[in-house]
Amino acid sequence: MASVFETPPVLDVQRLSYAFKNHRALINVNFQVQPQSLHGFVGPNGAGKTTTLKIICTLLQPQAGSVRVFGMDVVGQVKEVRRRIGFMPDHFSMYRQMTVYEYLDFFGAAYGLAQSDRDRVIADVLALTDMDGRKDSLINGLSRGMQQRVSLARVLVNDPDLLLLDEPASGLDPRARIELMEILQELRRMGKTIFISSHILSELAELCDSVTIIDRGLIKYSGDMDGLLVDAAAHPTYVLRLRESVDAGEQLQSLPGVLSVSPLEGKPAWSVTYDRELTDTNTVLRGVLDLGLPVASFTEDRKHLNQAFMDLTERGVRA
Amino acid sequence: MNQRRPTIGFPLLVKELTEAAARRRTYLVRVGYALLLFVGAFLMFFGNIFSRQTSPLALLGQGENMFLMIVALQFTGIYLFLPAMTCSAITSEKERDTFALLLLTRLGQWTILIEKLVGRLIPMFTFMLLALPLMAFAYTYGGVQSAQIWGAVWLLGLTSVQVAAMCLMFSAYCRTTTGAFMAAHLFYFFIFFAIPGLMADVAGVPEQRYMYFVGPAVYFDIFDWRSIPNPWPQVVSGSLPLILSTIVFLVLARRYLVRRAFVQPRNLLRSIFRGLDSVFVTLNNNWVTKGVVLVKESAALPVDRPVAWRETMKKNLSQFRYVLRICLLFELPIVAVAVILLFEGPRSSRDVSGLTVLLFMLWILTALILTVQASNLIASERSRQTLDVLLATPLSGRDILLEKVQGLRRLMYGLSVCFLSIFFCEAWLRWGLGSNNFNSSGFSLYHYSTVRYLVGSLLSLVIHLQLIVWLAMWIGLIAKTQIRAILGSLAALIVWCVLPVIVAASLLSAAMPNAYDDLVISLSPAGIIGMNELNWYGGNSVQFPYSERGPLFRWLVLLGNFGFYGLMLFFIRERCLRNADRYLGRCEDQPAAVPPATITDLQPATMS
Repeated sequence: MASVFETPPVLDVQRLSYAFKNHRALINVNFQVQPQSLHGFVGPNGAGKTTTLKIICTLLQPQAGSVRVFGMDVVGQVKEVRRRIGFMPDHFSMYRQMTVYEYLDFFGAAYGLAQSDRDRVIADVLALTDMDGRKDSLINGLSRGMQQRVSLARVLVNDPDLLLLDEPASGLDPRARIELMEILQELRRMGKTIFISSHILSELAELCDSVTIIDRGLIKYSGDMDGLLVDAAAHPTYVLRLRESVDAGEQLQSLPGVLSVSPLEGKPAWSVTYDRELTDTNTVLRGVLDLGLPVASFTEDRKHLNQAFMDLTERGVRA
Repeated sequence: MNQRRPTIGFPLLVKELTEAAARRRTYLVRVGYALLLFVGAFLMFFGNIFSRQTSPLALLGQGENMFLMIVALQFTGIYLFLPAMTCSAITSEKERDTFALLLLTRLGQWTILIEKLVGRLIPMFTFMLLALPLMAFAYTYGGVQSAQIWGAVWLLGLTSVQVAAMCLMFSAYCRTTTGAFMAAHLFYFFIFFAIPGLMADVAGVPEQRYMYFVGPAVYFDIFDWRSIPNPWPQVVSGSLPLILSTIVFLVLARRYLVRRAFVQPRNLLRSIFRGLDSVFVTLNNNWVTKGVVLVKESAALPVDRPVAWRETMKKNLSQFRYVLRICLLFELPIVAVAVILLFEGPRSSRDVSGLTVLLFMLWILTALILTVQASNLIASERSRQTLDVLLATPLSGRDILLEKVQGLRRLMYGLSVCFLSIFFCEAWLRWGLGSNNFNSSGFSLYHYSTVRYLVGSLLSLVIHLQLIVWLAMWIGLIAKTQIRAILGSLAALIVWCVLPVIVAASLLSAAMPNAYDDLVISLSPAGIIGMNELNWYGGNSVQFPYSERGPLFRWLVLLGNFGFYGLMLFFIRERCLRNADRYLGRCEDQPAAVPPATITDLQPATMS
């Protein structure tokens, strides 16, 4: 990864500000997205995610600051930027009276692809999104998950280097959500840079290399995922699962550096919180094994990502 | 357990009125209504009071004329404003997915309907109260019977309820506000104008006889309020069609309220066309024609103009076979009337011929269809949220607009065929007739020229059809919702056709009574069409006596007028194309980047 970070950023946002009437949507926003990474853009509702995305994809013009995509200014080089990006909005915006193939062909033509190339490109993107069996289906008759796949296929038609996805998993069932995430991982492996906006941090936790957290128009954090946990969780919590029910509360509490231990209701499992300044994960795990407990698993409690998010963002709804 | 006492209240009515009060549009519409009323009354009274009377005493007794004008304005206000206010009564709930919640409450279906109806009528009545000072003004001049006042209150009230009930019926039936609005206006067009007009022409009976049943405005105007001592039995019996039709509309609204509460959005036009398709395919599959297809749609997929492809291949009113059917539908009555006129020969009376009536009706229908279609080109993409994706492609805003308009071209060509049939029939029927003859429209052929008639007619097609399309497109680009785009475009078109003539005529007759000329009608884009069709270029005036309005004068008026509207078309089209990206809501290609600035430099923007 070290060599990757030496290359110039795909997306460079500097002191970006935007206001709607008397409402400041973005205030001096700064962040960068590195090439071939999957970057999460997280924030509560009304934080300014969609406004930022619309500025990046040239639908809105920045009122202050600059946004550069592959080194190109989104104001001065609008057409060049549009050719290099693929944008998926947060709503299902599709021409429902078209077949899947017609829809993709329409956007292929809109991106200026020659007709001879479009057949091949559409076949590729349909295969990638596993929609090749439905290419002659009317979009109107597709399920929400399938429509989202078609949307993703549409984004890929012009072979963009940067994908801008606004809440791509919203409204999808768990299976469709997981399948979408698998496609995104595949795209990253293919060398695409993916900028994905969401208001659910845990959804992106395992997927993203880096993340930017925005709240009320202000950037609260921008960097890699581990850094977010390090910064936010001085007192990490792990879940210890045992093969059988054992009353191990007092033994666990006696381990050095452990701050609190609590049983998880109805399961042979314990929640263990320790102080990062006094000990580390390996030492705590070694202590647990030394106690001779029948350990099934020892995993980081993902609630802490949410906790980090809660710590960084403010309570309540934006006025 | 304490039993809850039933409370009397009108929760839905309260909600409707509260929502209306919180909406900026309510106040804008009220100002619009007041403008219509006061400006209209001012223009109408101006000539009466200041220019045509030499003594104040001579004005006494003129109140009745003024009163009739105010009542006519009120009727106009009802027909113009109430449908726009009422068509969304139920459909807005359906569009916001709140109608199911309403049906789950203890409110009965009649309660919902009546409270919705009253919720729309109360604001309308408050609008109408704005006319009270004007009525008082008219009353002071004398001549107004008390029965006339109460008759006006009765008929205006009943008309409001009838129009609101009719719109409520369409609102209960349709899925969208746009659909309800269109259905209500088509109903209007046929019931209030087209059918009575055609029947009157065919049977040679004055339109008033038919209007009697549906048009209280005409009924009020022609009723003899002075000579009948007790007009009420006659007024009430004359109002029975009004009352009965209101009851029918309300019963139908009640019938559709739940049945069509969760109806899936569908394109009615598309369903009709598909039904027709299957009928024609069945008819075509016989041993003679053997399913032959005369014209096949060209490209199955977009070649290099994707937006144009979608507009022509996926929109019903752009597909060749559907345009052909519409064209044939309009052609049938034209051919029928033309054949009748051919056998009839030149008329000796001044009646307007069926062909001319058809031409004017065709213009109204064409203007309506093109306005709705053109204003919807972008507005529908915006409301269906498909625009953002299109705007993120490298297609330029100019190209998107030009390709969008290309979809309407087929429809314009199809409609042009119908217009051309009328123009050439008229030209043929007038061919070789002397200047003393009346043409098929019943107007004198004094200084008539077939070439001028055809040039004027063709120019009206070339310029006016495009003008309607680009004007509606311009408003559709600015408007944020479909209904605003459609209403705004229709309103703009009507205002453009009516306002210049009224203003110019009033100002001229008030400022320089001797300089007034009927030629001011040519200030309206609709005026020149009528002038060319009727070969009428104004009556006598001091500046230009009728005898001086020879061929040169007529050519100048015609070409000058079309030249002006050609320039207007060029201006509107260029404005749309030049600012396409901004209107569409995306960044325009600019030479340099915006320099970094601090947050204090922020300028407010509006959400696109």
